[in-house]
Amino acid sequence: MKEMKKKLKSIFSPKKLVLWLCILILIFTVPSFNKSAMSQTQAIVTMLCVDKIDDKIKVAATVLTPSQDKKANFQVYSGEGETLGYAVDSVSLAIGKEMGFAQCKIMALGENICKDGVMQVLDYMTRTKKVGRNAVLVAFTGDVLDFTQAIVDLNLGKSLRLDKIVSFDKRYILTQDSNIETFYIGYYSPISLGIMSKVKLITNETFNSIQVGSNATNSSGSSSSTTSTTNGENNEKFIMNDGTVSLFKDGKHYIDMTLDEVKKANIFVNNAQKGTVVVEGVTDHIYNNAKVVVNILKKDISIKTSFKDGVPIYSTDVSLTVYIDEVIEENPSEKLLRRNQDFLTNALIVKIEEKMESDMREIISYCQNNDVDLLGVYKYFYALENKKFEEYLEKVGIKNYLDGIDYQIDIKVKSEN
Amino acid sequence: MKVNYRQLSIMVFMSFIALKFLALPSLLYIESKNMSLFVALILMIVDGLYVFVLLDLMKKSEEKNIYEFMKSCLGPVLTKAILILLILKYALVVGNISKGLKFFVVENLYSEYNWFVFVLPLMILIGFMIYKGVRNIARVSEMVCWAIVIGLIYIALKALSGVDVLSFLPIFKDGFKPLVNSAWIHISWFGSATFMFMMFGFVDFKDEKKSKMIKYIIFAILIVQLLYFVFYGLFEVTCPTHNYCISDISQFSSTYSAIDELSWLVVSMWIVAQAVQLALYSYCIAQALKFLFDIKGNIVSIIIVMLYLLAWSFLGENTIKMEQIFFTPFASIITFIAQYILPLLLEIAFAIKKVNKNKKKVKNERNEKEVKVNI
Repeated sequence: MKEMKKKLKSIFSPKKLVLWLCILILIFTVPSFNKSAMSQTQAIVTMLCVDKIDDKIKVAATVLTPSQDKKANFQVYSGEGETLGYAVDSVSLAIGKEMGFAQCKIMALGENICKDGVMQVLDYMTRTKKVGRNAVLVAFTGDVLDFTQAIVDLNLGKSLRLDKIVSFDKRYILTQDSNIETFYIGYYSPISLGIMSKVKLITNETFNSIQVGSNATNSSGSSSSTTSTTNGENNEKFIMNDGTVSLFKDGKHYIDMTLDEVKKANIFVNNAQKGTVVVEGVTDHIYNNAKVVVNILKKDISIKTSFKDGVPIYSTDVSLTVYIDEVIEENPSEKLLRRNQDFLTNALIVKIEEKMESDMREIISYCQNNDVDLLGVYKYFYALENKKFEEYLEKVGIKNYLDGIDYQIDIKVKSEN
Repeated sequence: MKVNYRQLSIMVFMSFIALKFLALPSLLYIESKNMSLFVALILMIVDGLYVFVLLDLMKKSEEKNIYEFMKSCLGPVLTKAILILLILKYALVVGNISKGLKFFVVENLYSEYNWFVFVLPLMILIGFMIYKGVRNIARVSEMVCWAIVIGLIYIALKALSGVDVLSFLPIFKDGFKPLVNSAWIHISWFGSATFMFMMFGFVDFKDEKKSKMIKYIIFAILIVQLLYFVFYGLFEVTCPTHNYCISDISQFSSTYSAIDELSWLVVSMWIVAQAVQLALYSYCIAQALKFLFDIKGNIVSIIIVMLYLLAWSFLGENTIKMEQIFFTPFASIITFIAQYILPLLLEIAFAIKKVNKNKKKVKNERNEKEVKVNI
């Protein structure tokens, strides 16, 4: 026994442990030299587009093929099947590789699948195929294959990429991430409201008919890709992001919001710091029936909830710091050229406040008419006035709770100086 | 080879945070929803208080190891029964860490990763650390501690802007029952001070400063609370679906890459911290086995621990579901007794022993006096 202990001690002595470690490293590393590269057995999928056509799921994937010249080589493959799993398998069968989704950063969902419900697709992709929940989620219009091809063209162009477009949306339009996780959080919330950016696939004919940034109040910031030609015809397809946002209820596409509506809704959102207000007919000692474009520099929002005689009150105090961007006037007064003058006159402030309030009232009506809680009314009342709100919900029901709320708005505008 | 008071404080700190950042936050959320923060807070404060009970016992033990101390207070039979209980508690912790590490490495960090490649060097490392003794573990803890702290704070702060504070309201909506339920079910993830039983006789109290230990405990509680605050505020209703708290937070805060480069470093450092904890609790098993079976030398107990680790790594997944052991009343009872009853029992036993000793002393003195009077 003593000899055995001595032997064990000598085997596990620190010096010999290093030797053991070297042997282990050799055991594990040498056999791997004989193995084929992972890229030969697995396709690196960077984007997956899914839609439903005639009861069949159609998928198109962009597959990254590593190349020696350091240029990303994207190829588009498509397949279809009765279920998403079969459709994905059909792509694997076609390319002779397993589809690897660990690097899949974009999930695009077509119109039909959005109408039918996207939860099954998301569940399959995140649970079975291990797509990261931070993958960008976008809705799209048009054919799956054409859309995917147009995205690949965008990627090759380098200057425009779908993830960059959605990132821009996050900062200035949607003001929240459009990814699988945020969609899940919205879906599993009591109001079951999911939000995602929507990009459109358009032809060159449609593209030429769109007026980009026609006026400041109703600008449709569109972005286009490089051209792509499909089937050898001169049928160029473009990706266009016009700021449309798709709303989903219970995982199904419910309604689309235009850029204008989204911007109005953003007045209630603290994250959306930037913005523009356009007021018309400003007349005072400086302006003469002027159209004034005002940029928002800073926005502070305070939302308070209370109950009065059983009526919920949702009051929003908005404090804006602005500067005047453009003054459009037929015969501008020379006063406009004077320095050391505050151009944010009382008349202008009143006009801005009126315009802001009317925009906010409009979006409240939009929410009430369409039964979508974009302002987070449920969340605020549930968190801050829980008992009273639950009593109120029992009275009016979850479908009508937005209608009985008294929305109070207080806006204060101040100059950057 | 003794550890100094500072090293012990760091070991306590590491033990407090080690098991908290994988599956625990999502499991807590299932029962206690947005109040899970409070469950962790209350149990960690209780753990913190017990650190001082154990420190008090350590001082009272007068440099005796736990076996000798318990034997002197409780007798040999009860001592051996308690040692078995402690081994079970340590085995649960080791099993939980190794299971967590396995799933984290195999499922989350790498796809199709051969666990064998990871576990064998890890076993050798742990065997070596046990062989070198507790001071070695303490020194490694000292080395990695601040890197881990900075990393965890970095991950939390990076994602802090996405936290929705409203998701924590209203508080205590369903009363305290869910909190108590959740605390009882998941108590086996806590009891972070139990390793201190095996530190009896191995701590040098020369530079003792209670404030130092308090600072480390408060710091550990704050870090766990910060990470949990970010986790619950970020994921809200989807919390139960996030089994890898630390990597999921970093993944969510970096929108267009799986985990950004710096977070990779943090996650890697955190794996090192887990390995150190694995070594610490494996050391505790080895020590307890030594006391229980009166084994001389380290080799035999190290081999037993290695075999246990190996068993968890290769058999555990298919034969025994970890959840079946770790989330049962069995695990809760073991932790509850080992962490919360045992120190009090030892305090009482020591007090009784002291009283008896004093009585004996008084009796002896009286007898002596009587003898003198008679003379």
